[in-house]
Amino acid sequence: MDFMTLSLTGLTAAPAQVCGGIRLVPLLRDKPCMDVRLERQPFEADLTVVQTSKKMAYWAFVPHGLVLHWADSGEEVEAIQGSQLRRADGKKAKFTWGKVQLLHRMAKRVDKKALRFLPLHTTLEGFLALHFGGPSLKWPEYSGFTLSHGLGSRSEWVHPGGSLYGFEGALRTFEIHTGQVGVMIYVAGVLASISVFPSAQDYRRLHSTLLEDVYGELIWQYALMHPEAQRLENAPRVEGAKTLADLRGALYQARAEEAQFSLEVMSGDLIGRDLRLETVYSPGDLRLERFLTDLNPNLPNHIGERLTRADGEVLYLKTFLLSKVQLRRARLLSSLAAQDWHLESTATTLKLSLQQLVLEFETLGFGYLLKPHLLEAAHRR
Amino acid sequence: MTTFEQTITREDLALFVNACFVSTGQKEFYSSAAEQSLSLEFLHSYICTHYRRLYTRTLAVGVNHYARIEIVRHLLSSGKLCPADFRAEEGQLIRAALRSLPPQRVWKLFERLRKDGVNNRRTRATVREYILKHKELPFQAIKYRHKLRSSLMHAHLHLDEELSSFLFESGFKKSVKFENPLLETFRAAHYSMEKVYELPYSIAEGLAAKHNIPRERFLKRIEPRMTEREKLRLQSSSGGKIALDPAKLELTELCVYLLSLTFDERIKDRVQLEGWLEVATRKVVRSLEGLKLEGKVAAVLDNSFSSSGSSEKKNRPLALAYSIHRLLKGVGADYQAFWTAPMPDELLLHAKGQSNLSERFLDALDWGAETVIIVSDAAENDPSSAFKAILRGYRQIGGKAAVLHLNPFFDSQNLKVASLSPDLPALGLRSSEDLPALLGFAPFFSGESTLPELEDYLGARAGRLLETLARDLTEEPQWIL
Repeated sequence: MDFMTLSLTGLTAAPAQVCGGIRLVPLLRDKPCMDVRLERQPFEADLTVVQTSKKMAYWAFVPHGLVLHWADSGEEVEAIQGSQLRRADGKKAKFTWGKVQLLHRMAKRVDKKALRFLPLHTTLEGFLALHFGGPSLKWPEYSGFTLSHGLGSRSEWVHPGGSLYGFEGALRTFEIHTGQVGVMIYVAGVLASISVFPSAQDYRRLHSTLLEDVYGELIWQYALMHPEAQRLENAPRVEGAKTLADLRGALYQARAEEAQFSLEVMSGDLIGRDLRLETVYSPGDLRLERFLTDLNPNLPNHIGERLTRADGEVLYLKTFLLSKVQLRRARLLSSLAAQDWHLESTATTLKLSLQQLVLEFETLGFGYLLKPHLLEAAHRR
Repeated sequence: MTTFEQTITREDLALFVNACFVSTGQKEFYSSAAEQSLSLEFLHSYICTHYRRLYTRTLAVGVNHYARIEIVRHLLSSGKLCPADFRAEEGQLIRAALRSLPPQRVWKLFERLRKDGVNNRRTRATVREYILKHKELPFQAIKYRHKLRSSLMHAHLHLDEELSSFLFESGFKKSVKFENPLLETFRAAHYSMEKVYELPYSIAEGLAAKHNIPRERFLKRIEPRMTEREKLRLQSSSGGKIALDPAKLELTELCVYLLSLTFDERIKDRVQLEGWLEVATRKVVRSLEGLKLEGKVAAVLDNSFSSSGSSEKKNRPLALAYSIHRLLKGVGADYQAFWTAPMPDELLLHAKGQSNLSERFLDALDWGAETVIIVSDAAENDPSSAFKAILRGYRQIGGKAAVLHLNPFFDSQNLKVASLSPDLPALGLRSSEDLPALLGFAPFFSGESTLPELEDYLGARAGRLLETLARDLTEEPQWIL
């Protein structure tokens, strides 16, 4: 099995439920997971500051964290009832404009067998910190600031689920399947996100947190512009049926076809794609990783995080669709890093002229990395 | 020979009456209150304008209270459009309809008419007649003081001196007593704690707060003055101290109450609840005597998550499904229920999971059902729209079972009670007590009957309603102007 691609090992899809422009595909686990649990940890703070290293911090509004509980193989984690009382990690400060909490690390062990992490923000932090150190060689084109501080600071806009048109209604009227552990969210036929949790109990408790999660800019636009999703109905084929058993067979086949369609066609752009992985934490035999798809400019690209077992079973997954601009930024930075930040060779790999590359820097908000005379020269031409 | 127009008329009417049985303009699981009332408003205006006679006679077929009030409102606000030869009958039907409704709805209607500026001669006459013939006006004056006052002003009416002074003068004089015993008790209750308990519960409640009477003591002593609905409403908050008389309760309401209890409470009071349900069921079964169910009867009952209803109609669709289940059990046929999410104990019923209606339908057929009754909001999703194909397939292989679909949800977006398949028109139903009235109308939903038959049916129902009105109105007016 290849763990470098994105897969939904251990999960099957159930028929989709469409509400307005939102299409939700339930994901069911083949065999129940007893040894891992996720628990929601609500945050009150208006701003969360996470110290990721000595010199780097991540600032964001984080509505909640997740606490991962795991047991040794063969044992069961106790069922979670309500919120657990625990001592808050990190510090809190109150200002006239709001509350701030200071956390230490994106993923932090809070108990012997418990790990607190910030869902999706762990991923976003990884995305923002992509090649954050700046040029590896002292090329003359880069400004003094870049050479001494790297990228300095980076920010991205994301949209909370509550701001997606019709999303709240779709989540409210969604009928959770027995044994459901995850959901694929499509907006106007485009895969917006996949969320998977370890057990059905966790899903039931965390279903409403999908509204607090963040989604890409493109998804926000699609939800607004396409309030009615196409209903892709696959009615059971009953021609030639002779008995009631045949009818039942046709019904089950329609379900199976729809599951296959969801997993292979509708999400074909994401599932099976090559990933760039970074391990965030390894609790027990499990692995919590954040990832980035291959940055192919002709396909939608996602970032995300997942928790997998050694045999590849996906216990937890969350993905986020990058917008075109975000993709271009990621591509530019990766190409630069691959060429040791040499401008001319980067321009060649991206099939741009040097002048176009310099303008690309500016369009994407990276103009400050280069010396001003280069930008002026590019504009003059 | 039915013409195209006749078919359209019959279909329009069936669609409208179906909506009138089910929707109350309240919030539903899949649509908001505003969407519901907007859709209904359109349907009412459309039918009222095009088929006025049939529209008016709908008052007699037993549609729900909300629909009856809306029909009367539309009729009164468009009196000019009424044909001259129908005017008398329409007026009579309006009067009969108002007398059949609970007073709070009528007062609300009068207030609405005032707000809309509907003040034609017929409206004033209708209001006058309703107030004159009302049997317990002092009670209404106390309970709906503001609304009664505004109705009187709107219709330019003058009541006898005592009631007028009660309604229009502010405050009481401690020394001036009323002659009417109820008004006098109400006046006295402002100054005496004992007198509070001689008033009806809803009026006494406010005065009890004024006298700072502890809630527990108040509830205990006011119990004999409570209506059964008030007792039902207070069952949980009074800690079971108030005794209910199940003979007076309606089945669907009892089911809503049952579903409002926690699992522990349901198990603890199992014997009592079962007893109540049985009594209430027997009452509906008695009214369904004409209904004959032969052979094996199965019910596919939807307890998917969407049957949890809305904040305004909590668990209503599920309660309807459960009451139909009790009803079919009570009829005594060879019966089996197929819930979409089966539970080990029927009393622990709750809304959960997806709507896998097709699968349960096949289960019922496998069991050998000859009649299948489906109670569902028709929002199928495992997979969606599979039922249509399965039913078609079943007919193809020569299946003969009769299928009936009852739907507790009016789909405001499509202006109709949604059906699972075009071959199976859905019957909108709000509570199982309406079932006899609905079944009387059922042939017109499916297209088995023609428009003249529908007209005859409506005419006959209207005639029967007017007869009861004539019987009631022989009494003399009670309140002197």
